[in-house]
Amino acid sequence: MSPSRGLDRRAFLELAGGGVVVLVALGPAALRAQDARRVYPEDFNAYLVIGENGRVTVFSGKIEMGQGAMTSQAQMVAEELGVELASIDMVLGDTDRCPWDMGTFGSLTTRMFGPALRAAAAQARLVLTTLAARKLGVSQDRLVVKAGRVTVAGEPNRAVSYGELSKGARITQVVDDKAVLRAASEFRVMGASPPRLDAPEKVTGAAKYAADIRIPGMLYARILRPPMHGATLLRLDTAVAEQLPGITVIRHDDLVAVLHADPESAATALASLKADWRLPEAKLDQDSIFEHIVAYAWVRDAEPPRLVALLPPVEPAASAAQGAQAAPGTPLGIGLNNDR
Amino acid sequence: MKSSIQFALNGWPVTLNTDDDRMLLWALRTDLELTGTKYACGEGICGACTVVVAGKAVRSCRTALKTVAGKEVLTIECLARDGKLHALQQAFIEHGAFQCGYCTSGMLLTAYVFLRENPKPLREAIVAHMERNLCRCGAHQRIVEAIASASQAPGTSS
Repeated sequence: MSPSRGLDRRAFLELAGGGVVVLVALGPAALRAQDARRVYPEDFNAYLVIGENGRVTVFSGKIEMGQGAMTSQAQMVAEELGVELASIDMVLGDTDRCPWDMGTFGSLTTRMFGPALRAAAAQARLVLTTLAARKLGVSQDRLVVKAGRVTVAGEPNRAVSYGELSKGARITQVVDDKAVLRAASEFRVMGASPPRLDAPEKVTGAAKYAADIRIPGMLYARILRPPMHGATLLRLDTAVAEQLPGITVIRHDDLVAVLHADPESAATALASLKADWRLPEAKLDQDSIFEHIVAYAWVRDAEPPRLVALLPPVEPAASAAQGAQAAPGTPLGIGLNNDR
Repeated sequence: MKSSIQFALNGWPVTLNTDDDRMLLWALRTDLELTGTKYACGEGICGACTVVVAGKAVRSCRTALKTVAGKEVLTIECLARDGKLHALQQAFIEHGAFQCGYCTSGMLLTAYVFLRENPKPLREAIVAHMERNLCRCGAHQRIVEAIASASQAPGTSS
Protein backbone atom coordinates (compact mmCIF):
# COMPACT_ATOMS: atom_id res chain seq x y z
CA MET A 1 0.00 0.00 0.00
CA SER A 2 1.47 3.29 -1.00
CA PRO A 3 0.99 6.42 1.02
CA SER A 4 -1.50 8.71 -0.59
CA ARG A 5 -2.38 12.31 -0.17
CA GLY A 6 -4.70 13.02 2.69
CA LEU A 7 -2.81 10.91 5.21
CA ASP A 8 -1.68 12.89 8.17
CA ARG A 9 1.96 12.94 9.03
CA ARG A 10 1.64 10.40 11.82
CA ALA A 11 -0.21 7.89 9.68
CA PHE A 12 2.30 8.39 6.92
CA LEU A 13 5.21 7.70 9.24
CA GLU A 14 3.57 4.54 10.47
CA LEU A 15 2.99 3.34 6.93
CA ALA A 16 6.49 4.23 5.91
CA GLY A 17 7.93 2.22 8.75
CA GLY A 18 8.37 4.99 11.27
CA GLY A 19 11.48 5.43 13.31
CA VAL A 20 14.43 7.70 13.34
CA VAL A 21 15.61 7.04 9.82
CA VAL A 22 12.40 8.23 8.26
CA LEU A 23 12.25 11.22 10.55
CA VAL A 24 15.71 12.27 9.51
CA ALA A 25 14.64 11.93 5.91
CA LEU A 26 11.65 14.15 6.43
CA GLY A 27 12.67 16.68 3.88
CA PRO A 28 11.61 17.18 0.31
CA ALA A 29 11.74 13.49 -0.50
CA ALA A 30 9.37 12.49 2.29
CA LEU A 31 6.91 15.24 1.51
CA ARG A 32 6.95 14.20 -2.09
CA ALA A 33 6.51 10.60 -1.03
CA GLN A 34 3.19 11.50 0.51
CA ASP A 35 1.91 11.16 -2.98
CA ALA A 36 4.13 8.52 -4.46
CA ARG A 37 2.70 8.96 -7.92
CA ARG A 38 3.45 12.65 -8.08
CA VAL A 39 7.04 13.78 -7.84
CA TYR A 40 8.93 16.66 -9.36
CA PRO A 41 10.38 15.54 -12.69
CA GLU A 42 14.10 14.86 -12.98
CA ASP A 43 14.32 15.93 -16.62
CA PHE A 44 15.17 19.62 -16.72
CA ASN A 45 13.27 19.99 -19.98
CA ALA A 46 10.11 19.94 -17.87
CA TYR A 47 11.16 23.18 -16.18
CA LEU A 48 12.70 25.28 -18.89
CA VAL A 49 12.97 25.83 -22.60
CA ILE A 50 15.70 27.92 -24.18
CA GLY A 51 14.53 29.63 -27.32
CA GLU A 52 16.68 30.09 -30.37
CA ASN A 53 16.75 33.80 -29.50
CA GLY A 54 18.23 32.96 -26.12
CA ARG A 55 15.13 33.73 -24.09
CA VAL A 56 14.53 31.22 -21.33
CA THR A 57 10.97 30.19 -20.53
CA VAL A 58 10.58 28.70 -17.07
CA PHE A 59 7.61 26.51 -16.13
CA SER A 60 6.54 26.15 -12.53
CA GLY A 61 3.48 25.05 -10.63
CA LYS A 62 4.25 27.61 -7.93
CA ILE A 63 2.16 30.69 -8.54
CA GLU A 64 2.64 34.37 -7.79
CA MET A 65 0.23 35.83 -5.25
CA GLY A 66 2.23 38.74 -3.98
CA GLN A 67 4.89 36.77 -2.15
CA GLY A 68 7.36 37.30 -4.99
CA ALA A 69 7.51 33.73 -6.28
CA MET A 70 7.63 34.81 -9.91
CA THR A 71 10.79 36.78 -9.32
CA SER A 72 12.48 34.47 -6.81
CA GLN A 73 12.08 31.44 -9.05
CA ALA A 74 13.46 33.37 -12.02
CA GLN A 75 16.42 34.39 -9.86
CA MET A 76 17.13 30.76 -9.05
CA VAL A 77 17.14 29.78 -12.70
CA ALA A 78 19.21 32.79 -13.74
CA GLU A 79 21.76 31.96 -11.07
CA GLU A 80 22.16 28.27 -11.79
CA LEU A 81 21.79 28.43 -15.57
CA GLY A 82 24.05 31.44 -15.98
CA VAL A 83 21.68 33.82 -17.79
CA GLU A 84 20.46 37.35 -17.21
CA LEU A 85 17.32 37.73 -15.12
CA ALA A 86 15.88 39.91 -17.87
CA SER A 87 16.10 37.04 -20.37
CA ILE A 88 13.67 34.88 -18.40
CA ASP A 89 9.94 34.53 -19.03
CA MET A 90 7.91 32.82 -16.33
CA VAL A 91 4.95 30.51 -16.94
CA LEU A 92 3.30 29.82 -13.60
CA GLY A 93 0.50 27.46 -12.67
CA ASP A 94 -0.51 26.44 -16.20
CA THR A 95 -1.43 22.82 -15.52
CA ASP A 96 -1.08 21.91 -19.18
CA ARG A 97 2.51 23.09 -19.41
CA CYS A 98 4.03 23.21 -15.94
CA PRO A 99 5.39 20.31 -13.91
CA TRP A 100 2.91 18.92 -11.40
CA ASP A 101 2.81 20.70 -8.09
CA MET A 102 0.86 20.11 -4.91
CA GLY A 103 0.07 23.80 -4.59
CA THR A 104 1.48 27.13 -3.46
CA PHE A 105 1.24 27.24 0.32
CA GLY A 106 3.15 26.71 3.53
CA SER A 107 6.26 28.64 2.48
CA LEU A 108 7.24 25.62 0.39
CA THR A 109 8.19 27.38 -2.85
CA THR A 110 11.74 28.32 -1.94
CA ARG A 111 12.68 25.43 0.31
CA MET A 112 10.78 22.59 -1.40
CA PHE A 113 10.44 23.45 -5.06
CA GLY A 114 13.49 25.71 -5.10
CA PRO A 115 16.06 22.91 -4.89
CA ALA A 116 14.32 20.97 -7.69
CA LEU A 117 14.18 24.06 -9.89
CA ARG A 118 17.78 25.00 -9.19
CA ALA A 119 18.93 21.45 -9.85
CA ALA A 120 17.12 21.48 -13.19
CA ALA A 121 18.75 24.76 -14.20
CA ALA A 122 22.17 23.57 -13.06
CA GLN A 123 21.77 20.32 -14.98
CA ALA A 124 20.75 22.25 -18.09
CA ARG A 125 23.85 24.36 -17.71
CA LEU A 126 26.05 21.27 -17.42
CA VAL A 127 24.54 19.76 -20.55
CA LEU A 128 24.84 23.02 -22.47
CA THR A 129 28.48 23.49 -21.54
CA THR A 130 29.15 19.89 -22.53
CA LEU A 131 27.65 20.63 -25.93
CA ALA A 132 29.60 23.88 -26.12
CA ALA A 133 32.88 22.15 -25.34
CA ARG A 134 32.30 19.76 -28.19
CA LYS A 135 31.34 22.52 -30.57
CA LEU A 136 34.25 24.79 -29.63
CA GLY A 137 36.73 21.92 -29.50
CA VAL A 138 38.02 22.62 -25.99
CA SER A 139 37.72 20.87 -22.68
CA GLN A 140 34.85 21.94 -20.49
CA ASP A 141 37.00 23.35 -17.73
CA ARG A 142 38.24 26.07 -20.08
CA LEU A 143 34.73 27.44 -20.58
CA VAL A 144 33.14 30.47 -18.94
CA VAL A 145 29.39 31.03 -18.86
CA LYS A 146 27.96 34.49 -18.67
CA ALA A 147 24.59 35.89 -19.71
CA GLY A 148 23.65 32.77 -21.66
CA ARG A 149 26.91 32.74 -23.58
CA VAL A 150 29.64 30.12 -23.32
CA THR A 151 33.11 31.50 -24.00
CA VAL A 152 36.57 29.97 -24.03
CA ALA A 153 38.44 31.61 -21.16
CA GLY A 154 40.74 34.33 -22.45
CA GLU A 155 39.42 34.02 -26.01
CA PRO A 156 36.27 36.16 -26.19
CA ASN A 157 35.79 35.48 -29.88
CA ARG A 158 35.48 31.73 -29.38
CA ALA A 159 31.97 31.58 -28.04
CA VAL A 160 28.56 30.04 -28.56
CA SER A 161 25.23 31.08 -27.11
CA TYR A 162 22.70 28.88 -25.33
CA GLY A 163 20.23 29.76 -28.05
CA GLU A 164 22.53 28.43 -30.76
CA LEU A 165 23.14 25.27 -28.77
CA SER A 166 19.52 24.50 -27.97
CA LYS A 167 17.99 25.85 -31.17
CA GLY A 168 14.79 26.14 -29.18
CA ALA A 169 14.39 22.39 -29.10
CA ARG A 170 14.19 19.88 -26.28
CA ILE A 171 17.73 19.07 -25.19
CA THR A 172 18.18 15.32 -25.28
CA GLN A 173 21.87 15.16 -24.55
CA VAL A 174 22.59 13.00 -21.52
CA VAL A 175 25.53 13.53 -19.25
CA ASP A 176 26.69 11.13 -16.60
CA ASP A 177 27.61 13.79 -14.07
CA LYS A 178 25.20 15.42 -11.70
CA ALA A 179 25.46 19.19 -11.68
CA VAL A 180 26.57 20.82 -8.47
CA LEU A 181 24.52 23.74 -7.21
CA ARG A 182 26.29 27.03 -6.76
CA ALA A 183 27.41 27.84 -3.25
CA ALA A 184 25.84 30.81 -1.51
CA SER A 185 29.17 32.62 -1.65
CA GLU A 186 28.98 32.52 -5.46
CA PHE A 187 25.48 33.99 -5.72
CA ARG A 188 25.10 37.01 -7.97
CA VAL A 189 21.37 36.97 -8.70
CA MET A 190 19.98 35.02 -5.78
CA GLY A 191 19.96 37.03 -2.59
CA ALA A 192 19.69 40.31 -4.48
CA SER A 193 16.48 42.37 -4.60
CA PRO A 194 15.77 43.10 -8.26
CA PRO A 195 12.53 44.82 -9.28
CA ARG A 196 9.70 42.31 -9.30
CA LEU A 197 9.02 40.69 -12.65
CA ASP A 198 5.29 41.05 -12.06
CA ALA A 199 5.63 44.78 -11.33
CA PRO A 200 4.94 46.27 -14.79
CA GLU A 201 1.61 44.52 -15.23
CA LYS A 202 0.54 45.38 -11.70
CA VAL A 203 1.20 49.12 -12.00
CA THR A 204 -0.57 49.34 -15.35
CA GLY A 205 -3.70 47.43 -14.36
CA ALA A 206 -2.92 44.77 -16.94
CA ALA A 207 -2.47 41.97 -14.39
CA LYS A 208 -5.33 39.51 -14.50
CA TYR A 209 -6.63 38.45 -11.10
CA ALA A 210 -9.12 35.62 -10.72
CA ALA A 211 -12.03 38.08 -10.72
CA ASP A 212 -10.76 39.64 -13.96
CA ILE A 213 -10.79 36.46 -15.98
CA ARG A 214 -13.80 35.95 -18.19
CA ILE A 215 -14.44 32.58 -19.73
CA PRO A 216 -17.34 31.99 -22.14
CA GLY A 217 -20.33 30.58 -20.28
CA MET A 218 -18.88 31.45 -16.90
CA LEU A 219 -21.22 32.46 -14.06
CA TYR A 220 -20.50 34.45 -10.91
CA ALA A 221 -21.97 33.17 -7.66
CA ARG A 222 -22.97 35.24 -4.69
CA ILE A 223 -23.64 33.35 -1.50
CA LEU A 224 -26.30 34.16 1.07
CA ARG A 225 -24.45 34.54 4.35
CA PRO A 226 -26.13 33.77 7.66
CA PRO A 227 -26.19 36.78 9.98
CA MET A 228 -24.34 34.88 12.69
CA HIS A 229 -22.62 31.63 13.46
CA GLY A 230 -25.08 28.83 14.09
CA ALA A 231 -28.03 30.55 12.39
CA THR A 232 -30.46 28.28 10.58
CA LEU A 233 -32.65 29.21 7.63
CA LEU A 234 -36.34 29.19 8.54
CA ARG A 235 -37.85 30.59 5.37
CA LEU A 236 -36.53 31.79 2.03
CA ASP A 237 -38.37 33.81 -0.59
CA THR A 238 -36.58 33.78 -3.96
CA ALA A 239 -39.52 35.04 -6.03
CA VAL A 240 -37.96 38.37 -6.99
CA ALA A 241 -34.60 36.84 -7.84
CA GLU A 242 -36.20 34.12 -9.97
CA GLN A 243 -37.84 36.85 -12.09
CA LEU A 244 -34.53 38.53 -12.92
CA PRO A 245 -33.25 37.59 -16.38
CA GLY A 246 -30.33 35.17 -16.43
CA ILE A 247 -30.42 34.38 -12.72
CA THR A 248 -30.08 30.87 -11.34
CA VAL A 249 -30.84 30.23 -7.69
CA ILE A 250 -29.18 27.22 -6.09
CA ARG A 251 -30.14 25.91 -2.69
CA HIS A 252 -28.66 23.06 -0.73
CA ASP A 253 -30.19 23.02 2.74
CA ASP A 254 -29.12 26.31 4.34
CA LEU A 255 -26.55 27.09 1.66
CA VAL A 256 -28.03 29.42 -0.93
CA ALA A 257 -26.32 30.99 -3.93
CA VAL A 258 -27.44 33.12 -6.86
CA LEU A 259 -25.60 32.87 -10.16
CA HIS A 260 -25.35 35.23 -13.10
CA ALA A 261 -23.01 35.95 -15.99
CA ASP A 262 -22.04 39.28 -14.47
CA PRO A 263 -21.21 39.80 -10.80
CA GLU A 264 -23.30 42.96 -10.49
CA SER A 265 -26.53 41.18 -11.45
CA ALA A 266 -25.68 38.34 -9.07
CA ALA A 267 -25.30 40.91 -6.27
CA THR A 268 -28.64 42.51 -7.18
CA ALA A 269 -30.31 39.10 -7.05
CA LEU A 270 -28.70 38.33 -3.73
CA ALA A 271 -30.02 41.56 -2.28
CA SER A 272 -33.54 40.62 -3.41
CA LEU A 273 -33.62 37.38 -1.41
CA LYS A 274 -35.85 37.48 1.64
CA ALA A 275 -34.51 35.17 4.29
CA ASP A 276 -35.73 34.53 7.82
CA TRP A 277 -33.15 33.05 10.11
CA ARG A 278 -33.42 31.39 13.47
CA LEU A 279 -30.61 32.94 15.48
CA PRO A 280 -28.99 31.11 18.35
CA GLU A 281 -28.80 33.00 21.59
CA ALA A 282 -25.41 34.67 21.75
CA LYS A 283 -23.37 33.37 24.65
CA LEU A 284 -20.47 35.72 24.05
CA ASP A 285 -20.02 39.43 23.66
CA GLN A 286 -17.12 41.81 23.25
CA ASP A 287 -16.32 41.62 26.94
CA SER A 288 -16.31 37.83 27.27
CA ILE A 289 -14.84 36.69 23.91
CA PHE A 290 -11.22 36.94 24.97
CA GLU A 291 -11.60 34.81 28.05
CA HIS A 292 -13.59 32.31 26.04
CA ILE A 293 -10.76 31.93 23.53
CA VAL A 294 -8.15 31.59 26.23
CA ALA A 295 -10.17 29.02 28.10
CA TYR A 296 -10.88 26.85 25.06
CA ALA A 297 -7.66 26.73 23.16
CA TRP A 298 -5.85 24.01 21.33
CA VAL A 299 -2.84 23.04 23.36
CA ARG A 300 -0.04 23.57 20.95
CA ASP A 301 2.10 20.55 21.69
CA ALA A 302 -0.53 18.08 22.78
CA GLU A 303 -0.70 15.02 20.63
CA PRO A 304 -3.20 14.15 19.41
CA PRO A 305 -4.80 17.60 19.33
CA ARG A 306 -7.28 18.02 22.14
CA LEU A 307 -9.57 20.77 23.19
CA VAL A 308 -8.97 21.69 26.79
CA ALA A 309 -10.05 24.21 29.32
CA LEU A 310 -6.75 25.55 30.55
CA LEU A 311 -7.57 28.45 32.76
CA PRO A 312 -10.46 29.30 34.97
CA PRO A 313 -12.06 32.62 34.08
CA VAL A 314 -9.98 35.33 35.65
CA GLU A 315 -10.44 38.99 36.28
CA PRO A 316 -8.40 41.13 33.88
CA ALA A 317 -6.46 42.67 36.76
CA ALA A 318 -5.59 39.29 38.25
CA SER A 319 -4.65 38.01 34.81
CA ALA A 320 -2.17 40.81 34.27
CA ALA A 321 -0.64 40.19 37.67
CA GLN A 322 -0.09 36.52 36.85
CA GLY A 323 1.26 37.23 33.41
CA ALA A 324 4.89 36.92 34.34
CA GLN A 325 4.56 33.46 35.80
CA ALA A 326 2.32 31.61 33.40
CA ALA A 327 1.96 27.97 34.35
CA PRO A 328 3.26 25.20 32.10
CA GLY A 329 0.59 24.36 29.57
CA THR A 330 -0.51 27.93 29.08
CA PRO A 331 -1.46 28.22 25.43
CA LEU A 332 1.07 30.16 23.41
CA GLY A 333 -1.32 30.79 20.58
CA ILE A 334 -4.44 29.59 18.97
CA GLY A 335 -3.93 27.08 16.22
CA LEU A 336 -4.03 23.45 15.29
CA ASN A 337 -0.94 21.66 16.45
CA ASN A 338 -0.31 20.02 13.09
CA ASP A 339 0.78 23.28 11.49
CA ARG A 340 4.54 22.87 11.46
CA MET B 1 -33.31 54.54 -14.91
CA LYS B 2 -32.34 53.35 -18.34
CA SER B 3 -30.66 56.11 -20.29
CA SER B 4 -27.87 56.98 -22.66
CA ILE B 5 -24.80 58.16 -20.77
CA GLN B 6 -21.89 59.86 -22.42
CA PHE B 7 -18.55 60.66 -20.90
CA ALA B 8 -14.88 60.80 -21.85
CA LEU B 9 -12.96 57.70 -20.78
CA ASN B 10 -9.20 57.97 -20.85
CA GLY B 11 -9.52 60.59 -23.55
CA TRP B 12 -12.04 58.69 -25.69
CA PRO B 13 -15.76 59.41 -26.01
CA VAL B 14 -17.93 56.65 -24.57
CA THR B 15 -21.68 56.12 -24.81
CA LEU B 16 -23.43 53.55 -22.64
CA ASN B 17 -27.11 52.67 -22.92
CA THR B 18 -27.81 51.32 -19.49
CA ASP B 19 -29.35 51.91 -16.09
CA ASP B 20 -27.80 55.15 -14.90
CA ASP B 21 -28.11 54.10 -11.25
CA ARG B 22 -25.48 51.44 -11.85
CA MET B 23 -22.08 52.01 -10.34
CA LEU B 24 -19.22 53.23 -12.51
CA LEU B 25 -17.03 50.36 -11.29
CA TRP B 26 -19.20 47.75 -12.97
CA ALA B 27 -19.63 49.70 -16.17
CA LEU B 28 -15.83 49.89 -16.39
CA ARG B 29 -15.20 46.25 -15.52
CA THR B 30 -18.12 44.57 -17.29
CA ASP B 31 -19.39 46.81 -20.11
CA LEU B 32 -16.04 48.35 -21.04
CA GLU B 33 -13.84 45.39 -20.03
CA LEU B 34 -11.31 47.56 -18.22
CA THR B 35 -10.45 45.29 -15.31
CA GLY B 36 -7.56 47.34 -13.97
CA THR B 37 -10.09 49.03 -11.67
CA LYS B 38 -10.61 46.59 -8.82
CA TYR B 39 -13.68 45.54 -6.87
CA ALA B 40 -12.82 44.90 -3.26
CA CYS B 41 -15.03 46.09 -0.38
CA GLY B 42 -17.81 47.48 -2.55
CA GLU B 43 -18.63 50.02 0.14
CA GLY B 44 -16.22 52.85 -0.60
CA ILE B 45 -14.00 52.00 2.34
CA CYS B 46 -10.83 50.47 0.89
CA GLY B 47 -10.02 52.57 -2.17
CA ALA B 48 -9.09 49.70 -4.50
CA CYS B 49 -11.68 50.91 -7.04
CA THR B 50 -10.45 54.52 -7.12
CA VAL B 51 -10.65 56.30 -10.47
CA VAL B 52 -10.38 59.94 -11.44
CA VAL B 53 -13.59 61.81 -12.35
CA ALA B 54 -13.27 65.45 -13.40
CA GLY B 55 -9.89 65.66 -11.74
CA LYS B 56 -10.98 64.18 -8.41
CA ALA B 57 -10.20 60.74 -7.03
CA VAL B 58 -13.49 58.92 -6.44
CA ARG B 59 -14.54 55.45 -5.32
CA SER B 60 -16.05 53.97 -8.44
CA CYS B 61 -17.97 51.33 -6.47
CA ARG B 62 -20.06 54.14 -4.96
CA THR B 63 -20.21 56.43 -7.97
CA ALA B 64 -23.45 56.17 -9.94
CA LEU B 65 -23.08 56.37 -13.70
CA LYS B 66 -25.46 59.31 -13.93
CA THR B 67 -23.03 61.43 -11.90
CA VAL B 68 -20.23 61.04 -14.45
CA ALA B 69 -22.28 62.05 -17.50
CA GLY B 70 -20.40 64.62 -19.54
CA LYS B 71 -17.30 64.35 -17.39
CA GLU B 72 -13.77 63.11 -17.92
CA VAL B 73 -12.99 59.71 -16.37
CA LEU B 74 -9.45 58.40 -16.04
CA THR B 75 -8.56 54.82 -15.06
CA ILE B 76 -5.27 53.06 -14.38
CA GLU B 77 -5.14 51.94 -18.00
CA CYS B 78 -4.28 55.48 -19.14
CA LEU B 79 -1.64 56.39 -16.56
CA ALA B 80 1.17 55.18 -18.81
CA ARG B 81 1.33 57.27 -21.97
CA ASP B 82 2.84 56.27 -25.30
CA GLY B 83 4.33 53.14 -23.81
CA LYS B 84 6.08 55.12 -21.10
CA LEU B 85 5.22 54.55 -17.46
CA HIS B 86 4.17 57.51 -15.32
CA ALA B 87 6.74 58.60 -12.73
CA LEU B 88 4.48 57.19 -10.00
CA GLN B 89 4.30 53.80 -11.68
CA GLN B 90 8.07 53.77 -12.08
CA ALA B 91 8.49 54.73 -8.43
CA PHE B 92 6.12 51.96 -7.30
CA ILE B 93 8.24 49.45 -9.22
CA GLU B 94 11.53 50.78 -7.89
CA HIS B 95 10.29 50.85 -4.31
CA GLY B 96 8.50 47.52 -4.53
CA ALA B 97 5.42 49.35 -3.32
CA PHE B 98 3.08 46.35 -3.43
CA GLN B 99 2.98 42.62 -3.07
CA CYS B 100 -0.21 41.21 -4.54
CA GLY B 101 -0.92 44.49 -6.34
CA TYR B 102 -4.69 44.41 -5.88
CA CYS B 103 -4.79 47.84 -4.20
CA THR B 104 -2.19 49.31 -6.57
CA SER B 105 -4.49 50.83 -9.20
CA GLY B 106 -6.38 52.72 -6.52
CA MET B 107 -3.20 53.73 -4.72
CA LEU B 108 -1.66 55.09 -7.91
CA LEU B 109 -4.70 57.12 -8.96
CA THR B 110 -5.20 58.49 -5.45
CA ALA B 111 -1.55 59.53 -5.40
CA TYR B 112 -1.78 60.89 -8.95
CA VAL B 113 -4.52 63.36 -8.01
CA PHE B 114 -2.80 64.18 -4.74
CA LEU B 115 0.51 65.07 -6.38
CA ARG B 116 -1.21 67.21 -9.00
CA GLU B 117 -2.70 69.28 -6.20
CA ASN B 118 0.34 69.02 -3.91
CA PRO B 119 3.49 68.73 -6.03
CA LYS B 120 5.83 69.10 -3.06
CA PRO B 121 4.12 67.37 -0.17
CA LEU B 122 5.57 66.76 3.25
CA ARG B 123 5.84 63.09 4.13
CA GLU B 124 3.18 63.58 6.81
CA ALA B 125 0.81 64.93 4.18
CA ILE B 126 1.33 61.86 2.01
CA VAL B 127 0.67 59.57 4.95
CA ALA B 128 -2.46 61.48 5.90
CA HIS B 129 -3.78 61.54 2.37
CA MET B 130 -3.17 57.83 1.66
CA GLU B 131 -4.68 56.71 4.93
CA ARG B 132 -8.02 55.84 3.38
CA ASN B 133 -6.50 53.47 0.85
CA LEU B 134 -6.00 50.06 2.40
CA CYS B 135 -3.25 47.54 1.56
CA ARG B 136 -3.66 44.18 3.20
CA CYS B 137 -0.17 43.08 2.22
CA GLY B 138 1.20 45.89 4.36
CA ALA B 139 3.14 47.84 1.75
CA HIS B 140 2.16 51.25 3.14
CA GLN B 141 5.66 52.34 4.09
CA ARG B 142 6.97 51.58 0.62
CA ILE B 143 3.93 53.23 -0.97
CA VAL B 144 4.65 56.43 0.94
CA GLU B 145 8.32 56.27 -0.06
CA ALA B 146 7.38 55.73 -3.70
CA ILE B 147 4.99 58.69 -3.74
CA ALA B 148 7.57 60.90 -2.07
CA SER B 149 10.20 59.93 -4.62
CA ALA B 150 7.82 60.62 -7.52
CA SER B 151 6.94 64.03 -6.11
CA GLN B 152 8.87 67.24 -6.64
CA ALA B 153 9.52 67.66 -2.96
CA PRO B 154 13.19 68.51 -2.42
CA GLY B 155 15.47 65.65 -1.53
CA THR B 156 12.94 63.02 -2.50
CA SER B 157 12.94 62.87 -6.28
CA SER B 158 14.50 59.76 -7.69
